[in-house]
Amino acid sequence: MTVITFGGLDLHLLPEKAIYIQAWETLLASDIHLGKSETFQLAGIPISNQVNQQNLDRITELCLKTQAKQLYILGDLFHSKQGLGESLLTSWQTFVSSINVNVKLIIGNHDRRLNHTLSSLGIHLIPSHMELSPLILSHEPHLRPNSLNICGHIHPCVRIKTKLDNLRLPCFYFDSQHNLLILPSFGEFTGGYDLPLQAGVTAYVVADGAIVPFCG
Amino acid sequence: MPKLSVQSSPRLQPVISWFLQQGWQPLPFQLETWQAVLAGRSGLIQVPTGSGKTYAATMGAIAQMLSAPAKGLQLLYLTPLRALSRDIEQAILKPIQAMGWNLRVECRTGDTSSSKKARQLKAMPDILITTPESLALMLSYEGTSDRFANLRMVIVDEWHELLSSKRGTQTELCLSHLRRLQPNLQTWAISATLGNVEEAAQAAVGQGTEPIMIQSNLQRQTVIKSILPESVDSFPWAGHLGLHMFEDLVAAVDINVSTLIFTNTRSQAEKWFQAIQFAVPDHPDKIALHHSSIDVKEREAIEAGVKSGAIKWVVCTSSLDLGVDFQPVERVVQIGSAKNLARLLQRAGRSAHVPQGISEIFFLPTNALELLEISAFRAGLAIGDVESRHPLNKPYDVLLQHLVTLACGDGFQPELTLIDVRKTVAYAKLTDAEFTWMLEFLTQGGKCLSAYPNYKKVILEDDRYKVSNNLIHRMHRLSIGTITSNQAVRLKYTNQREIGTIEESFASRLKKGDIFFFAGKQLEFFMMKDMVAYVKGTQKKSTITPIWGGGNLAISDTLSHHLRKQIDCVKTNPPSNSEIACILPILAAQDRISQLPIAQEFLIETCKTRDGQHFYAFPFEGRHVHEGLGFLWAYRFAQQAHSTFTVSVNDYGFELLAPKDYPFKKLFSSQFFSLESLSDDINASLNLSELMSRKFRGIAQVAGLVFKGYPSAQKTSSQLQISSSLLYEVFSKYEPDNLLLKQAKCEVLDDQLEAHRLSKTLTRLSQLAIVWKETKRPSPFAFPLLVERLSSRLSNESLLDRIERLKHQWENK
Repeated sequence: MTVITFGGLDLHLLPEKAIYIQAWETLLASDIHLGKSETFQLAGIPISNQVNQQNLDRITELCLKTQAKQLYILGDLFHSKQGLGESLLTSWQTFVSSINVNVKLIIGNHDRRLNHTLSSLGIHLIPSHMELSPLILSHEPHLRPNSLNICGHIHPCVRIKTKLDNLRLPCFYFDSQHNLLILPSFGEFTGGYDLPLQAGVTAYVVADGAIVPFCG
Repeated sequence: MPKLSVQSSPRLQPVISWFLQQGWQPLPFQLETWQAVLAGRSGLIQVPTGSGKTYAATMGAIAQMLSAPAKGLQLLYLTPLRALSRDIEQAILKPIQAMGWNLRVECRTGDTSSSKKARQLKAMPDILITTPESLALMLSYEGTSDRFANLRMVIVDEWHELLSSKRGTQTELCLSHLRRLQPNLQTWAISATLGNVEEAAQAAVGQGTEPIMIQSNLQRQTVIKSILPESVDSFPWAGHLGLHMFEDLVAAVDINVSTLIFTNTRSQAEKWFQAIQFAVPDHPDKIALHHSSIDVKEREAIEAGVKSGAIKWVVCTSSLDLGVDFQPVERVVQIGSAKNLARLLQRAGRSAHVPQGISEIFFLPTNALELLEISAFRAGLAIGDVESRHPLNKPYDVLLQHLVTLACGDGFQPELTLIDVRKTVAYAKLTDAEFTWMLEFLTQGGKCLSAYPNYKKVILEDDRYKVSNNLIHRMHRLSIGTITSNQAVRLKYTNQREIGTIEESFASRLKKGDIFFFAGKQLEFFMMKDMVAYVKGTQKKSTITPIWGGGNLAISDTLSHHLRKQIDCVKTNPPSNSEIACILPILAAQDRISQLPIAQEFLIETCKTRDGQHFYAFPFEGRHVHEGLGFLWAYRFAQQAHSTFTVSVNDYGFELLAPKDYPFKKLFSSQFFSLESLSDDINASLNLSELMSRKFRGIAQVAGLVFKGYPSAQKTSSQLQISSSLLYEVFSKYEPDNLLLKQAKCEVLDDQLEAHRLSKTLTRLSQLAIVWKETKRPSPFAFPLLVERLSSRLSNESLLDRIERLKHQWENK
């Protein structure tokens, strides 16, 4: 069990790439990028849209497993306007109605372009950030003294290298000096961005159904 | 010897007149070529540089054009480098202007302005000099059949350079299409020395035509002289630069003698240039640096300077390997091994002014083992051995790009295009199933139709496949050059003056205020905006030199053959040259610490260090075979005891690095030489390694799957940003039968690991007596492998096990 405690609140880091706050029965995940495959198809690059359903299935499983009552998506639920076609919209609506969870979306830079469609999604929309003391939830980092900022957007990865081996892995990136916790990107077919493992940082690396912490 | 007979070839008269006006006699091979051209034949001209090959190839066509004038493009001249197109244009213009012939000559490359290009498309010149990419681009516009209606002949220059690369395959495909438009098209290739010249000729002219082979009888002797260190004791056993010898170099060369100093990479060229400037501070104007990332205008100025004699020494890379001669060059220096006999011959050839002169090359070794290589070079040269370069074996990515090119232009009919494509040497064995897969890939995206609802790349219109979407047109035209370039970031002064290009991976790591050397100048990084890096000149010191991903040159297999013989001889009958004499103390050290193997021995060493347990084997078969063998054996070890291995290779042997105490000796047996299940084992080892994912990167780019963004000032659209490793994962998961994945595997097996040579190697090694040495520290042979920075991994451990071990090592650093 990997838990970060902040201000008396326990945050469970899950190897499924989400955070569960038991006390609030709330799940946090970010950067799902539904419709990314369709966006690429329009540009003549054939990526299968089966990734979308995979992603939705994974969140469904997570909701069932944790018995969460609320799900906050910290931005970039959808990848682009062109990617959100009829069939994807239907899949999404099926998903929302199938789970017994209150879904809230903090609008990310990718979602912002879908403004007119977002209202028909059946979820609560939050324009930029949400203060839930002692946390502040946002898409891009939004630091606030005395609060822990949990955000997405970055898709954090760390590269661990020794002479013997060399791995690049997605992680929960916890910068205790700045009270910042960045979620790994939830979506399949999302890339990653390398962050440095400096002093004061703990990278909770996700792989093979497990979480392994690396301290900088 | 063909007689100079104007009566029998009246059409040649104008050409011969011009030659006589210059005080020249046409050489026999030139006359032979012209007569073959006039007889409607195609073929290949194989002559050393500077022997009049340009006029041999072009004058026949010009004679034809003068005797039967036509409108529009009649002669197409393909050259691999933009820089060469200018030189060719000058050379062709000389007789045209002197004799007042009514022929228009123009160039068309990436450097040509867009207004000029638009004009050309509307009204083509009689003679067009262009690159393979620009030709492909032309085919991507409508109106091709009209544009090439009067095309008679295509000349392909430096064919030995193009032939075995994807650009060569692209050329083969473009030519096959031109032959569909012009069934009587003549093709002439110009090539330097090659081991497989007939195959090269066939690839140039296409199947179904018999090529004429034209060779000059010019013999050229090549002499190698070495600049050796005084004592080999302090000479490094490994390492790439040899910079500590820069004083020896300066002492061996004269500032008044025109000299080309070749290095193997751009980074090396930058460092050597700095070192030489430091050693010879009194003549800054006479010394220049020339490589492909330096701005084209500066390179032109340097080339002009060498021709005029104002510039005496040029530190350069393969950027000066090709093309028209620099007459004043008297001396050639090669820093580090050229790795390849043909390349060495070519570079040495630049120092002989006269066609029959002696070519002399000064070799400066950068480490001890290179001395062995030079000794091997001598042996190879003595028997006239030279490398072969083969056309590629049906690379799917290049064909996909070509089909989209045709679809963007006039469209294509699949049955006819398949016939054309099969007339190339590269795709002679393309199966119907493979071609069908490609059409499906382009029209549907993949197996499951419903998985690609938005995909509309190529559509069927009447009976032709076309691209109907402007976005796809634009993106495709931008990607046509991807076979050549790594993503390059332009480097400019803050006043917008161009300096050159650096690779994105280097540029992205720069922070404001960082100081680095480039093109011999000290530059301070200011900022990066829209794929352009802005810098200011500075006096502040730095030692960062940009790195280019160009990668390691591999010793050719021809050379590795001679290298093994050198090792064989050293103990029993040492060759008496200065290089072996110099290196004897190191070989003695090898014998002391471990062993110097003789012909019947196969040396294996194991050694323990802080990093883990090392296993070394020395087959001396060249790095490609070693990589194959290394992965095979890593797999055969891993099957018995799960582990993660790091595989490092060089031309002498390979290293397997495993965690501490890995029982190499206990697990090794004669089974490791077994040919049984060889193919399964090597396939399985590939699945466990990163090699295929890495190869996929280049393939994805060529096939148009990775969009790098519009070059003019815009960032890559964040919506379409994707890494090729992510693509590889997605395809592996959802479309495992994708031919591009298969291509990645084939490229790794055939090109990278030379899997077809493995059984031969294993059989040879199994017959030798194994000498197994446990050394206290790495031996001279092992040391270069120990410090080899490029390596790959093979693992059959779970990801979690690897992470746990990494964590343990990380915390104990």
